[in-house]
Amino acid sequence: MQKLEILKALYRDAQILILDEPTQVLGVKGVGELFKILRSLRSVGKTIIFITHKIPEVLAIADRVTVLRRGAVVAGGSIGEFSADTLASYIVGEKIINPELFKPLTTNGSAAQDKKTALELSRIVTASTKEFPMALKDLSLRVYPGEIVGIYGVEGNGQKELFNVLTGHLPLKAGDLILGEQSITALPLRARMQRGMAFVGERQTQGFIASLSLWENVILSRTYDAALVRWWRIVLKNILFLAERVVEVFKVKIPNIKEPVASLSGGNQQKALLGREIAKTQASFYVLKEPTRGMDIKSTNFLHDKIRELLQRDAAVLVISNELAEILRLSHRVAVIARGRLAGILTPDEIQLNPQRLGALLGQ
Amino acid sequence: MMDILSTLTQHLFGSSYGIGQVLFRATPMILCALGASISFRAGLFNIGLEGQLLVGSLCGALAAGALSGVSAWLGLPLVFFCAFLGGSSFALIAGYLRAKRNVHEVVSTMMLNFVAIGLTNFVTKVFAVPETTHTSEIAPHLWAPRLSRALGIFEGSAVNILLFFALALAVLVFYVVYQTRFGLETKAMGHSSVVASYSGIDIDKRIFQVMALSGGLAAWAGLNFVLGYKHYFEMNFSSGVGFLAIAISLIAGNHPLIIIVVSLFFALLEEAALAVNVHVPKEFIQVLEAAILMGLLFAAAKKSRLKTA
Amino acid sequence: MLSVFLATLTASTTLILVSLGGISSERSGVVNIALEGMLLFGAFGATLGSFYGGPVLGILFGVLFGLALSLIHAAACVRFKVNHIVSGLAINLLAFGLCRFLLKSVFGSSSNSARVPGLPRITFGMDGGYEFPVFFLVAVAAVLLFHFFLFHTPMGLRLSACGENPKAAESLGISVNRLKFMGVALSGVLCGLAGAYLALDNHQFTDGMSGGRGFIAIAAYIAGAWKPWRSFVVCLLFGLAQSIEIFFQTVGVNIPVEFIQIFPYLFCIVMVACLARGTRAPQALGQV
Repeated sequence: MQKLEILKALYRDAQILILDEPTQVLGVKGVGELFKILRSLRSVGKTIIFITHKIPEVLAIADRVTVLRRGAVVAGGSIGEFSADTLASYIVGEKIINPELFKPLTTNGSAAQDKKTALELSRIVTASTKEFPMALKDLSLRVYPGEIVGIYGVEGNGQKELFNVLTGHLPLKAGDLILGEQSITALPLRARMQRGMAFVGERQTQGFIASLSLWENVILSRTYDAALVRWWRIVLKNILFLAERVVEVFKVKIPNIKEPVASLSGGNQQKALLGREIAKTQASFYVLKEPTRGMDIKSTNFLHDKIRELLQRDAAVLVISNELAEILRLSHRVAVIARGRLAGILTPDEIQLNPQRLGALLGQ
Repeated sequence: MMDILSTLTQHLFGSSYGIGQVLFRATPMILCALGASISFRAGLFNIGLEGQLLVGSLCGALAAGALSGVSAWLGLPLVFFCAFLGGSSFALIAGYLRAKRNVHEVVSTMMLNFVAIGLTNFVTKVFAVPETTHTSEIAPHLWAPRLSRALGIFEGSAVNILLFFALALAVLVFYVVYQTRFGLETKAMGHSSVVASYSGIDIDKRIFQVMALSGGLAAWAGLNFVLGYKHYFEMNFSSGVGFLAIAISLIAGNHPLIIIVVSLFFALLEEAALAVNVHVPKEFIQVLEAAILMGLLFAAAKKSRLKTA
Repeated sequence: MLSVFLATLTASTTLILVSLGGISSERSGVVNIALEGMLLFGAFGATLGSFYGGPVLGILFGVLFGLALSLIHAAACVRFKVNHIVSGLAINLLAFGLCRFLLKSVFGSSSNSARVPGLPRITFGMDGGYEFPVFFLVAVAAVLLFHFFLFHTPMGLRLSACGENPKAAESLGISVNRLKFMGVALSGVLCGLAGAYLALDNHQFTDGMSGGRGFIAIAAYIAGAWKPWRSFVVCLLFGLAQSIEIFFQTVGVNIPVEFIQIFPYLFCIVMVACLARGTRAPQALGQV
């Protein structure tokens, strides 16, 4: 797909190529290929402007780098003048004391797997449709309370389908979904939420209604909650209180909660979105898809901490992401998804010690 | 020109008959527009109000005929119930097609409008008083009492208690829209049904409820004529109020209380058009109404463009 | 049988042209439920034109009247970002109001205009009882041309791009707004042409003569997956449904006239319910 875009641009004899976050949907192999192409384009004299927030990529491909923060240039120069730490500190704006910040945490602890399962996906099979093209084949997974399981893969290998199986939007052709002791395959989304499931999906199409106010969005996914919304009455006092709390705890920058969500920055919206779900203290199983997509380092770390806090109340978390760093930082176990199957389960340590294993699983 | 204006003001504001007629015309507008507003808020463009009005009020008329032996205290609510049932069931056809077969309601409700005309014409013929195009007259105790009889005002005008009924419903709808779970969820649906469905809202259920409500309200709008004016169902009596209600609701921003104001304004225009029909064809009013809607759409859009710019 | 066939062709002609117009508008990304209004207004314009200057002027006026309304819709949706469906509803109300008002003012009647000269006819059979609708060939030609335009010319492909992914189209240098205007304007021209045929074939304009055809045409292209030839076929089916009355007359079956009247509309609903499931609308349809 990316190659198509580049081809299109070249076909029109482009001399300057501007790429905006081009590796978002590429896997490790894809990024390597892209860089090979870019280097060869550079060698014939083309100019490439590569916009990214991923420091390793900058260090790998760039000749010169310019750091922008809040619309202003804060640093620039040839790449040799910068290291990962210095780049990071310019991006974030404060001195990074802990150089370990961008290395995955190796001690994520381990969940007690002899406990009862929080959620079981049992031999899930789905049909391929226009909306959900990657059919899931015989997918099985057990998630236990108090652990974070990461689902990692190149985008387009069934993550969207998996998410929608869990929300109930994609019906099962075969297999079963079991929450705790009970099969929830036949239950609609609201019933699943009432039994303790919480979801964070794609912000603009599954999370927020941008034209509505923040407080309305905060209760949007819990209108069944009788403390907030009775069928005959909206309990405004409780709702506003809840919205204020979310804003406070999650440091959402917003003038007041009656403002439409569209007026917030993307990062703040994402914080609010996770906030409203994490605020559901009764929720015991979280499904988070790309929870920190497009966010800066500081906010990403902040949300990762908040996600880890969920473990303290013995919740189970499923994180679906194609950002390897995020997966490695958060997960106790990593399930690799490829072509609609779970190709294998590794721990973050195993992945770091032996990256080829990951590549092998992805390539299946 | 000046004497046109003076006859107009005299008729509209000076005579109690004129005021009464304006209120009489406004009553079905309010009811129908409330129905439109409920569905528009939910993102469902129910343009079949005209047909739902016909089907529902025919059911009401037939029920009234069958219940002529029943006292008014029991009979009248039953008539209202039957009318509501007729209108909402008819609207639910489109609701079902939308929810389960993804048929866009603009197409289905419009088609059903034509079906309604044919259907009600046929059924009326079956029950009609010979040599006429209407059903038999409803027993007097089941008429909607005219205000001229009940309160001694608006002599000669057909305005009846349905006016108060409509006003009360507007307040009720206002409460429902802003204070209940139904209102919140349908509002969310109207903004983005995809996000609403991922928020756990049962879209199909709300589609059914919304269509049923709007169809039922349209049916009640027809009762203004059937119970309050001619006291029978006459073929094609509705003269487009179902479509006008669409304009009213849009102009009022789908707000139930503003709908009352806009309906009164349009009723005023229509009554005025009738009064000056000698000088200006009354059809001009329809152009005016559409032009007002069009103008407001452009103006509102311009305002929001400036805001975001 | 032959008369049913010929009646089908006649009835489908209007539907085909309107349906093409709908495809033109929606493929560029603008929802257009004002087809009914543009059809009616075009019909009136044609009547007016023919009244004053014969059928040729009639067709010209018909097209212009349809175009005029479509430009309002285009301005509202593309420039002013009004909700497409709301704008369409408003245009319909405007069209109906204008037609009624002008009908009264110009022709002095609330129901129909004066008789106006129509289009040249080709008749055959004994007593010239059968007529072949020449305009049907115009409709077929229109489908051919439009299909070629949409799928085999750069401009047509760019038009589709606007309706599928306007942001991507913009980034490629396509003037999305201009193409949307064009798509909507073309729908106005086609509806106006269809209205001209409707009125001139009838030799007069009657109140509400569009009879829901604008919406039936919408159903046709939804069922036809926004593709010209498929919609053509569905329009033929709908035309057949409208001609069913003749069939029953010739067969001599005694069905209440109301049922025959509502049959085309019911048929339309059933068709859309069955065929609309698999079809996919242009991705960015309705985006403001």
